[in-house]
Amino acid sequence: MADATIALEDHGHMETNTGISNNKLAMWLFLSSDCLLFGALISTFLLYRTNIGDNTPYTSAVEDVFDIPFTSLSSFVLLMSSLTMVLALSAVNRDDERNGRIWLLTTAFLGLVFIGGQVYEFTTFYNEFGLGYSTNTWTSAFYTLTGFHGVHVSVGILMLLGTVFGTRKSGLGKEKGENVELVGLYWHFVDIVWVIIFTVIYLIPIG
Amino acid sequence: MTTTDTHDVDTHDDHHEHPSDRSYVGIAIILAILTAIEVLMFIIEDSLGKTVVKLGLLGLMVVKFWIVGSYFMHLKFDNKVLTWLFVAGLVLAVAVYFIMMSAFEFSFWNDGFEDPGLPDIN
Repeated sequence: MADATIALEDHGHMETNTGISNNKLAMWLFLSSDCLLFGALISTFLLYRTNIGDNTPYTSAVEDVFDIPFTSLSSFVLLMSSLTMVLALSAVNRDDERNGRIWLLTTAFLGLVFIGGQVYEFTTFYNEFGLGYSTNTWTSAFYTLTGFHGVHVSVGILMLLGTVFGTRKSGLGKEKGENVELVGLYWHFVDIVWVIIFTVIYLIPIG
Repeated sequence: MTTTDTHDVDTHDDHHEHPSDRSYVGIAIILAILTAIEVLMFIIEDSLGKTVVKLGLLGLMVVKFWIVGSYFMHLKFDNKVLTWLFVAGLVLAVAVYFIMMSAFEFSFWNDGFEDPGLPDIN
């Protein structure tokens, strides 16, 4: 009888012949494939980054529009959200539901601050520099890349809020550790993509 | 993945001890310091030279990527299959787009851009 029973682990998922839960493996597969999406967007931006075109209302390097202190602050906020995310997972794995929820909400809040910063940046580009989506290929590549990243962050925020509010009745104990871990993996991935974007797009000099 | 009975599988997920909360805070401080160094390199670009700044920033980026992946995403402590899975996607992406950019004759070290400078408003 015992042999016929499907074994469940501490985290509530079925054991597999790799020792890795199917959900976790699927999440890593997704993240691995997402590298190709962001690879395409980053390389496209690099190809077009000197292509200011005739439609830009000024002739200086387009990099001059970047507000590096402001973007550095946004990057710091996203980096710290990775810390709060990992603290949330740590709390949930300790069965500390209250702190788990607090850290998850803090992570979502920091994500919202980052998105707010991106909206401010896009608005400034448009209003002060006249850089619309189709102004030139540089702006198209820039908005597509950073916009896609912003969408990823927004989806992450929804996942975080869904985890907090979707478990109000069932509780957010140790048995939900893997759910929180999966959300965390996605969130950290979004963070490391920004690590690349911040360096390659904003900091590395042209020429 | 097929489900198996308890006797066929010895452990679950190759889980090892994860760092403590204090260690996580320490790792986040290291990441913040590395980010500050990146911004500093950007500010003093003229004194360092573009090649040094490009190499330095790329190096710091790789270190930050590795730290987040290893510690925050627990790749250092999890089953190595996950590391290989992620590295495979990453290497594939880098290789494919490196070849694609080479086809467009893109050079990271000299992209042929000449800053025309600020417009002459007079």
